[in-house]
Amino acid sequence: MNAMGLCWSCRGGVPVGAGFCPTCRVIQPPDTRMDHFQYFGLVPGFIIDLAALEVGYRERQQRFHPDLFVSRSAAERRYSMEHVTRLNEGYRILKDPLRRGEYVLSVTGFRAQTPENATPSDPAFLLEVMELRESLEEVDLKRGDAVARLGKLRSLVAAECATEIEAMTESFSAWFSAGDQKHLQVAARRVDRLRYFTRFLDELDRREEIAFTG
Amino acid sequence: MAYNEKVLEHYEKPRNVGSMDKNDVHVGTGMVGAPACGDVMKLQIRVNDAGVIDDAKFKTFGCGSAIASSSLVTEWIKGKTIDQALSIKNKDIAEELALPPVKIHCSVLAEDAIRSAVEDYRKKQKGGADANGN
Repeated sequence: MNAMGLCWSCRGGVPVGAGFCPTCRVIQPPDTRMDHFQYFGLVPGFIIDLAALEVGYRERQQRFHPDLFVSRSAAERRYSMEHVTRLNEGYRILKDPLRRGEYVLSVTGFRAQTPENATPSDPAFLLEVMELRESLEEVDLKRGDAVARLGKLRSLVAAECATEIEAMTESFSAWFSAGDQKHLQVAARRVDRLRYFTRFLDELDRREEIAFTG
Repeated sequence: MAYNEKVLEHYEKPRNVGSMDKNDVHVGTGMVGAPACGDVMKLQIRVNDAGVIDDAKFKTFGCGSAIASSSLVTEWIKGKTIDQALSIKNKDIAEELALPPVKIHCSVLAEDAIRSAVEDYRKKQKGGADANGN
């Protein structure tokens, strides 16, 4: 991106997306037109450079940290906060495969929002989820073997998650190289399945904590 | 978010929780899910020879509103004919439980569950012996 904007403070030229003015070195507000990939300078897609995300996150966190702006103007303090908010939000989304999958579906324009209505179309899958939920419910958290039983369920579902992530990686890549909507449809289905498994693991976490603390 | 009294009442004392034999030809099993929140709901109906739902059971893993919606639905459909049960709309459920807009999809889920259970029952009736036992 070579477009230029103007520094809000000295009115000098600032490359779009730059955090600071090259002339007066004053912090610039985050560019709201940028998506999370652009903000972190990453190639957009489901497969991202996770190491670059980590480095980019930490590096920007240091540069924009509100502690560095306590003695600056109100506008600068606000921009620092805006950057940090933006940074945390983007990091939270891009780091997690489920949120990243949802985000890719939304930036491609395929699906802005997760469908809220029911999916009776895949009863076999729903039955599988129901049975997993029942097994989880049957674990008596007061018994000594609870943690071990929960651990077994966790590895079972973690493997399911890995399968879904692998499958959506393939579908998203196929879409990025061929641009065929049908690949996004398949990817969206995988994202939905991963969400069911993720919610299951959330519930498992809650129960595990109870089992641990007695 | 504070739950409405009726939701709490069903959530704390859910009616008709349980399962029936899904291979029974008189039993229809509806299985639905909400991809947005990962909730799953199973609704089963047992239909007698007069075409009346004489028993209903549910099992829901999800939020309080989803549990209350399915609990309420099992109460409502008992003693009703299949067509009467199908006439229950999510709006009726949402109104009865005073669900806030963000929880409307829970009532949609319950309505879909009725339809899915009836569909399963009808398929079994049509399929006759070979649908049984599966």
